[in-house]
Amino acid sequence: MAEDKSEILQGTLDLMVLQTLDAMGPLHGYGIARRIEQISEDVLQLNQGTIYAALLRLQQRRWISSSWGTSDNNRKAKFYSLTKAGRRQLATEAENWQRVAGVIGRLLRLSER
Amino acid sequence: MLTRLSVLASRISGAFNGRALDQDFDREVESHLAMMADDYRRRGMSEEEARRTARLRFGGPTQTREDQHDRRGLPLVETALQDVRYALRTLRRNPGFTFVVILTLAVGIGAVTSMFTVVRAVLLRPLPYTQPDRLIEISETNPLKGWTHTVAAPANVADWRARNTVFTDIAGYIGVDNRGASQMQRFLSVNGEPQPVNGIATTGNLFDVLGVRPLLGRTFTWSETFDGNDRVLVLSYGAWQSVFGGDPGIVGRAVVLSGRSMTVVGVMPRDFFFPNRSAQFWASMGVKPDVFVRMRRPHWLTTVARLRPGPTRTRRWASGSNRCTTSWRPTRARRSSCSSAPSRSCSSSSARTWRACSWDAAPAGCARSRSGARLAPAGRGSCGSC
Repeated sequence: MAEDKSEILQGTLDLMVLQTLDAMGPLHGYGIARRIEQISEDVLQLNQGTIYAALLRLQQRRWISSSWGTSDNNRKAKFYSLTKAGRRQLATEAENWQRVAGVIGRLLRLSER
Repeated sequence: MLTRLSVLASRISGAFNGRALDQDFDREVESHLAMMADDYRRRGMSEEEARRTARLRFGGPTQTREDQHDRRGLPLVETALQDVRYALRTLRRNPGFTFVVILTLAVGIGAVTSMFTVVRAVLLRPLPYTQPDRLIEISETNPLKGWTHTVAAPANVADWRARNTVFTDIAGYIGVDNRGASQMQRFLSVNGEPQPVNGIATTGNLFDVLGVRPLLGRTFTWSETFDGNDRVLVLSYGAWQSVFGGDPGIVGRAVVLSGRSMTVVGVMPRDFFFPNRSAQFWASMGVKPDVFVRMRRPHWLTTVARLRPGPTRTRRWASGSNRCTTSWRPTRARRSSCSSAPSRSCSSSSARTWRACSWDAAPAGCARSRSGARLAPAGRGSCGSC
């Protein structure tokens, strides 16, 4: 694998999945993985199988729900969608993430000076 | 908190639906790989290459499947269940060994259970009386006749009641065998049909000495000890339930006890017993007042007395020192000192059974503390001569 690809930080995959579902509506596992890869412009190194660990975790917490449906090109697929609790969780985590990111950013800028 | 609960719930249900969920996940992975392969094909890959690349990008479907399985259920529990199943199979293959193991367990559990039952009844469960450790059985001794432990004559009990400074009160009762079981059988007629019941006859102050209150109605008064006031009956909870079907209007009801019409004045609580669980009723002994204070023989009253509060006096009395025994020596006793007091030999007999000499001249009395479930003679004779 290329050097310029980063490992996904622990816990950030969940947030990415929630955000993706919020933006795109109900989506299957492959769609979510593809979307995250697209958005990250292939910077993130993602074994697509790992997305299912995140999906299970979120389902166990009742933040997303799933049901079988049919994809655009007529394949059976399991679709995931955000629940109400999931939407709340997304708001909390996004805010949290932005706060942390802000702090890190400020720190880095300070040391550059 | 709520999140944790829902995770737990989901894991528990996952543990029970493992196979179905595995199949579901297999289908999901399959569809994932197919969709990915579709995309690669559209970008111009060959069928074969598209599928291979998809598997590569997915990153080990089998590994993912195993991981998912573990995350979904309760791996620890599943492993334990596997072990149990393995153990059961092994046991089934070796019936002889299994039999010995089961027998060993059965005997072990049985022995421990019965031991605990006894310990609980005798040592742990408190007796259903107020401060049961202050209840004493007083009995007579007579060195001249070699009596070491004899039921009392009524007049002696009357004297003890009148003159002692050690007990708040002394009650007497009859109708027990030498193991404290009730052996006075009577027939209670209910709707003309006689039913056998066991009980004891007692002085009116028994329940006050024991410090217990009835569940329903009242207990006896002292004047009900005597002939003429003695047509009163207190029932045990068991007798109330079995003979009268728990009749809530039982208090005041007239019943016939072996031909004598009596009035039920009270019912005792479920956990109460005296002298042990064989007694289903308590009747008044109905003795004549003058007989009670004058009869020096025969001896027929078993006693139960409550020590006055105050640790000092009790200890002194228990150790049989002269001072306290003389303090309640009746005028009838001719000898002036308590020379034959039991002292050391008695107090050292056992932790839960002690006796002390009441007085030296006939009738001399011995008392033994009542503790433990055996109210009567378990300790009889255990402490030498008083």
